[in-house]
Amino acid sequence: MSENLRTPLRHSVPWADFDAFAHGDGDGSGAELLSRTELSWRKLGLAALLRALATVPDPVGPLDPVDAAWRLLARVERYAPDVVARLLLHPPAGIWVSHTLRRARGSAGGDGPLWLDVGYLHALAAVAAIRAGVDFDIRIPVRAGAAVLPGLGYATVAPDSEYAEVRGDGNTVVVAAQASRVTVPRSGEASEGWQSPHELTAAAGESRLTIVLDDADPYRDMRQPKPPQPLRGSDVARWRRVLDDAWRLVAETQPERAVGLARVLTSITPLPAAERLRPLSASCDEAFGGIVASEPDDALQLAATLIHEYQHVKLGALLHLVRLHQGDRSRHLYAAWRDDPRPLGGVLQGCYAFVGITSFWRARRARAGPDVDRWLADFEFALWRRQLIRVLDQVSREPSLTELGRSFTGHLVRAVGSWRDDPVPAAVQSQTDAAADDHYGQWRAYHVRPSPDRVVALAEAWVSGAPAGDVDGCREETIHFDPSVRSLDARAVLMRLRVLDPGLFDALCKDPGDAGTFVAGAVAADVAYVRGDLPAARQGYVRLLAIDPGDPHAWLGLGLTMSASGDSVGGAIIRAPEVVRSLALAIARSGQSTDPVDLTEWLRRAC
Amino acid sequence: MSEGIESNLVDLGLASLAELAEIDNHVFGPALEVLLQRVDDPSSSISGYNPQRLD
Repeated sequence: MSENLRTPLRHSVPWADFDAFAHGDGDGSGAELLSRTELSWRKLGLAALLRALATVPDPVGPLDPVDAAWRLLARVERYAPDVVARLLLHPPAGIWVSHTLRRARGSAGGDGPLWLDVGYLHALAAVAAIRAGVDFDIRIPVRAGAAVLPGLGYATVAPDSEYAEVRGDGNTVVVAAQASRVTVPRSGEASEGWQSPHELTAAAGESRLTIVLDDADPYRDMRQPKPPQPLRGSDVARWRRVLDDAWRLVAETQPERAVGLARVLTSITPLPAAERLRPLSASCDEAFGGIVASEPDDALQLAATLIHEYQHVKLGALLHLVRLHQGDRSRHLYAAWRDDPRPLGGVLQGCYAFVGITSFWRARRARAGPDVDRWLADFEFALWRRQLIRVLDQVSREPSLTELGRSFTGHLVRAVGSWRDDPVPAAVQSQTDAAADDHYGQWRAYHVRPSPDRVVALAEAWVSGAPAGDVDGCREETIHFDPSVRSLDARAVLMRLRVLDPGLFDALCKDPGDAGTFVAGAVAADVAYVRGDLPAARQGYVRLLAIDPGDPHAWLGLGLTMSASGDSVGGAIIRAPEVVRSLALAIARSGQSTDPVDLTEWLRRAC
Repeated sequence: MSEGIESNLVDLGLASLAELAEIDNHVFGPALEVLLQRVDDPSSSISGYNPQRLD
């Protein structure tokens, strides 16, 4: 045993790096530190997996024993430790470790026999041997006719093959399965039946970002294993072009952030384009350096996505080192970027990502010209600044934060607080205030339940004609997660669409019934509200509430519309949407119909 | 004040794979338990912009 393990040293996080991370940064020495500590985390996972597999009867099926694959990897490590270290940090390898560990421990199932997952170890060992030029011979699993060598590419073989034999003599490598024989080409060369990864490099001055656009690795999408889904050449070309432009934007806007991002990010798993202005992206703390992202609308959107996920990746790795909260998953909180209530850990991750994004838009404001780019930077900055203040206020009062967690959150609060006085054009501020209230209000209307006793008392008072102000009672509320809720940001998306694509918005104004086709969750009244036709919007929302008195989207739409008209009744809806909604539903259940404006006017004396 | 926050994660950067296979679990300290808890709760691991829309 090496001296290192006889007296094991633990990683430590210098205070300067912790403070920089906590401020939303940590892109220099902090990012370097995380690259080192994540190698330890990955090795720890591998050690746990090796031990778990030792307790499973026959974990390898037709493949070589686990020990043979491990010994090959260890043999290569003796000659080429850097090759193995780099390979272990391949982002999907982390997903594989976790997924296979769950299967081996019996805490999750899989889509096929366990050995299909275990065999990824054999594939990693083969790749290490190929890269180091070591002789070897090992079987690897085949999924849907693809024998994948992680990070190197994949061979297309007979589709009914269960496994392939990979043999290398230091010079030539052949993948064989039944009658299929595929030669693994040297870097940059082509070979029939072989698909190499799509490596993209974006450069902006001295700053370079190199990533793999991963359409092949079984563990690339961070959830369940899947076979390769090859991108078309035109898709790869578009990604290359947009990544180039996005990288220029990141490097020119936040050069320090770009340094850390280039050090950490190594792969993007592409998803098909999502709905316009609603990109999809994700990351996982087990896949350090990897992200999933939908094909972006444009370079600016991809730049924001890169920063968003980079923040998640950093915090995920930091949480392998320090504890910021006690992991209480029983309490659920508001997250302004999600439709669902989230546990503290998830909300903290979101805050961290959005501090990064908001700082990007803040910096972007100084560089964008007086056009739609400037409008978008102002809009995104003002919206997320306001939402972060709201969410961080909630997070910083959470009892399950550790002392470190309080310090971390305090830094984030101060970072966002330092932006509080940055001026934003009044029109943009008014739109983003409405968008923020809209999301929060709908979230409350859907997921928060006022005390049933109070709702009953209010309903009885309304029916009997008594003043709402006379109703007392419990003001307690509870969270009821409604998993069907989607698209709480529909009106905010329409606000963006109006400026970014005026042609499409004009078309929607002519035919507002189509709104939901282009913006999921949007209705005709939303188009009227966003274009400023407040009487039409009010009429539309009142009509919707006549059909469904418990429709949160219509309630908030009505509240925003009345507020924009200078009618103070709108504020009552925005302040207590969950009470308004519950009361309207209770009255409807009693068989009475009511005018939503009259009801709110009456209720505002009690809220 | 110390220069940094000591983590529970043992520095395995220089540990060879051959050693990893042999050493006793106690060398890994409490980080091993933390890792297993996280692994068994995958919903806490994925972050991003409304990833529920990925379904």
